[in-house]
Amino acid sequence: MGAILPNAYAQGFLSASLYQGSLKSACTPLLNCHACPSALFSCPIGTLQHFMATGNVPYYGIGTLSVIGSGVGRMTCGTLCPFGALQDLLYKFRAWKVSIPPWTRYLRYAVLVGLVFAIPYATRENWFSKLCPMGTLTAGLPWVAMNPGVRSMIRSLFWVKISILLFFVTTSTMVKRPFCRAVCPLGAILSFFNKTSFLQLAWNPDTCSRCGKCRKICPVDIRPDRKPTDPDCLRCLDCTRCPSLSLTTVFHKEPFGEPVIPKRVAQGM
Amino acid sequence: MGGADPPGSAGKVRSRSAAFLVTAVAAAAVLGFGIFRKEIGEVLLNAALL
Repeated sequence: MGAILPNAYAQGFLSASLYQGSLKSACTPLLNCHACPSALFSCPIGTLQHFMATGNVPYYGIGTLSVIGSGVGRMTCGTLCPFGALQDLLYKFRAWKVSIPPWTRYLRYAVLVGLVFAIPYATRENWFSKLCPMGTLTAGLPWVAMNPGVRSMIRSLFWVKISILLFFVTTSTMVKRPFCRAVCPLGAILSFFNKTSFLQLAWNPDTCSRCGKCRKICPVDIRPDRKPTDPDCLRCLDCTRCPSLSLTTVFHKEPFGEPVIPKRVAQGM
Repeated sequence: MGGADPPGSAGKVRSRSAAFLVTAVAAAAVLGFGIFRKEIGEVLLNAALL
């Protein structure tokens, strides 16, 4: 659904044109390139970079993401993002499976500060968009295929973009959501809100058997039973298949957020 | 869900609720300021590549 709704302007592909209506003034909380011929909304990361590259503070972009983040945290990453869904799909391929070290999560904050804020401000160029694999997949490749004028403008940067896309396509077959975990600056912004968002993941220590199945099905390899408010949690709700984990609100009186010793374990001590 | 709350959980819920309210109000204020500065028009110009 996340891939279809923000990309519902099918006419863009038929007529090789961009949607230029008023919906483009709204940012989606998804990594969805606004240069894609079928895109109806604008990319929040592209918007932030544009304002930084023009020397302005992107209040509208930051405000939009903050309002969404304070409501649902990273839930849009886990349920609606088309690039996340693509990575989930690729991981289903039979391939050598590896896990990435936890420190790689900090890379996305470096990408956010460097490629989205600092470098665009210093160079007046949208550097993350130039390299974004989602942009290459949904905008770069379709435009190159559809428009001979664009084909004639291909330079070495295009092949760098293709290499980055191929890297993430390949690694997604081996690692669960590598781009979301290590690179995505949108996920980095929304992850700040996981602890205080309106929607929360609650863990019930009384019914948890500590079987660890929630980690196995988690698309980012975290332990929702140990830290339901983990900034890495995508709120995909896959783990809520277990009755010990459920979706709740920040006002609900439940012991979420901190590892609590289950009562039966405490009684056995 | 069953059982008594662990010690301090009510306080944590209160502080988390307060943090949510502060965050939500601040987020709405930043968004409102962006709209007041007519940034929407510039977003449209940039995204539609006009």
